[in-house]
Amino acid sequence: MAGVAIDAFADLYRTRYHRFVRVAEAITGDVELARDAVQDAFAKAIRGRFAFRGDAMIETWVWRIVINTARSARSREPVAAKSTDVDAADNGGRQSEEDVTAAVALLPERQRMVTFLRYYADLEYGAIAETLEISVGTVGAALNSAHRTLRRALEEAER
Amino acid sequence: MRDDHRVGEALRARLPLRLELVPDWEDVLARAGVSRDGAGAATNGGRSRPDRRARSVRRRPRLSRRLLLAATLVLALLLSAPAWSGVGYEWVVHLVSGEPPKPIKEQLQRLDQGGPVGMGEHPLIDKTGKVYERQTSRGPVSIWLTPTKSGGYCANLVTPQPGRRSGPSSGGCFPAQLRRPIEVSASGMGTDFSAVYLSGRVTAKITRLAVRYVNGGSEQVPIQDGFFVAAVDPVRTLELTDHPHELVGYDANGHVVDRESLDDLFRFGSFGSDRPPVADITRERKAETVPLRGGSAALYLSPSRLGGSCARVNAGDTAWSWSCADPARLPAALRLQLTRVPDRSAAGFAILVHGVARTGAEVVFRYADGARAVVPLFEQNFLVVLPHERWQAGRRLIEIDARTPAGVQLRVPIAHGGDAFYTGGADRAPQHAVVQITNPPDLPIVAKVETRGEHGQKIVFFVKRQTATHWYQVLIVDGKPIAGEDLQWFPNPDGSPGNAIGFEGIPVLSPDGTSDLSLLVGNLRGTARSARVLYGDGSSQPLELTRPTAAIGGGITGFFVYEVTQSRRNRKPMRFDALDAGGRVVGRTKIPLEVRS
Repeated sequence: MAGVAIDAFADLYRTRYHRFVRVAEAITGDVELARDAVQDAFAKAIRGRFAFRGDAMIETWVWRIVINTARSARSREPVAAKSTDVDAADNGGRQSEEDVTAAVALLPERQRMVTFLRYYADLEYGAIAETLEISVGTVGAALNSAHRTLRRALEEAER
Repeated sequence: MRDDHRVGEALRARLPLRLELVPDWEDVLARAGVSRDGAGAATNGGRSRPDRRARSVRRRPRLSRRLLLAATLVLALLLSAPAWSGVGYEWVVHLVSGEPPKPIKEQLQRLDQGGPVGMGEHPLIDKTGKVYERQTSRGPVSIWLTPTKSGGYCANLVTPQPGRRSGPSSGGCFPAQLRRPIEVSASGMGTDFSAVYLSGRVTAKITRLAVRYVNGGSEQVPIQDGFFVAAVDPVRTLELTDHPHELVGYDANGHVVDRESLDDLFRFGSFGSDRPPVADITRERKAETVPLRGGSAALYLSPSRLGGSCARVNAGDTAWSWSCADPARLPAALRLQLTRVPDRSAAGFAILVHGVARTGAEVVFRYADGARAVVPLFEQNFLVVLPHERWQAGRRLIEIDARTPAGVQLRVPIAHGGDAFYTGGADRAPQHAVVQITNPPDLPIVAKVETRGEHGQKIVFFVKRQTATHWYQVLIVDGKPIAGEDLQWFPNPDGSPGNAIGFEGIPVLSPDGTSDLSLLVGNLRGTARSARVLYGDGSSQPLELTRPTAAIGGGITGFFVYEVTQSRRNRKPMRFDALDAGGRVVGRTKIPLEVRS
């Protein structure tokens, strides 16, 4: 397939917008940056649609663009620290959340991306592999390592 | 391939769920510098850049924190003040009776675990009461309602489960006020025929409720205290079948108060169609080709390494679906899949019906004009394209039967009323792969545990090796398969074997509730050679292990089945330790609170 009709992007945008934003937010740490990144990514995809080679599904191709755009947005704009109003009763939960957040931030880039695509985008292993241009086995290995690290963080948070 | 649910929950908790609309597509087009019809900067091959001014002008403005706060307040007021907003309907709860079953309590205890900070539901478990109960053709159904600290409610639906005692499924939590006159959710949805229940609540104005089907039939759904449960026949639960189309609520005078569409509940989203690893594609061959306008679709079959075969439906260069099944062990006499693939007809798509029939059965298509056709089978698989002349009312496909010499084993009513089935365009993406085989017959058993439960149940757990990294584990209690899983282990990038010990909890509910089992099934790996359970009083007990007789799971050294009996529960089992040959702890994992309490 050489080139993609704009309608195909429009369908994808309408049906998958929230998933794209969730992953972009996970990467940028800011929902507004994420929304911007998703719209920018689709704009890039439209402009580059004639370059689409057809060796991947359109959706995985757009995922690549969204991820790259979100990464660029993150490096361009430092994210302000978030303030959270939490009841005293929820402090345990907040601690746990912060621990997981810190552990996610420390994951190697590939593990982090695989984790985001699996849990925020609900992509299958094959689709993740295609998106990140790695093998399915590598996806599994990266996810397994991430699980191990994050489980440890959760267990430590509970002690 | 397995997800870690605990990690998943913690990750999802990092990003709160938001109610937000999808921003205008026009904004994206403006950023891309193209017009709605695709004309603009990119039409010359996509190489030129868009007008930077236009791009910056259309960039989504950031909302200030104050504006966001104001918007949130308005939203909160709209949700909580129906008199102002026009949404929200009168609803009065009468808790009928008492003590909820233990699985419901456990489910409620788990409800807020891993939930987003500040968004916990905080159910008042002791105030749980039954609000709905009735007999259906498949057994008793009930709804248990639990008030929450914030003034809302959480619902648990209890439905019959074949061969087991009724089990709960969460109906979610919701505010006290109805947001629509009819609120409905579905449980039990799947890609095969399965028992589906529609449940929910209605405004007090609605005194009678009916579920209407695509082909025009309808059934009354009893309402009790504003709640309802409808049991849907398994053969009416797929999109291509005569499935529930809408709920219609009537007032005491018989006037329609509201209609709630159900079509979305029976339409599955799909993305990607990976080849299942069990398909041996080196031996794949084309079994059937059907003509499409401007091309063709084909059914390819390859042997499954687990018995049976894997079917791939292709049209153009796209594999639209993959499914693997063993016809000798199909859960129902038929499996059906519907695929709409693009073609060059005026409609723009073709309707493909494909599936697999149980061994010994033939498949018959019946049409509205009385015609019938026995479908050619290839190793019990089939692929049929519905010709366009069969899209017309009066000539449509109305039923698919699975038939043996003993008679019709399964009749599946097909959606032929209305035009929804024959309009709407091609599928947007290939379907998820479906693999039905859970206890493959031809793989060697490499580990087996046989024991008795505290109520005398015969427990058999065995492991079947597929490859060095892929295995199946199956749990059978009193001769009934309880769980069958296709598992795979991925080595770590550094070659280390990963966690030394892991397990999953498998509750086994007895029909009368008097002899439930709580089993923890797990394995050791790497340098771990033994394991023990530690109790709350500081004591410990070695776990009985079964060693695999062949390399499996990337280095599994032992399997265990640990029953949480009442006497063990009294001692509060806290965690499992894995120990190496020298008795050193090389791994540990906590036992969740809900298991030990």
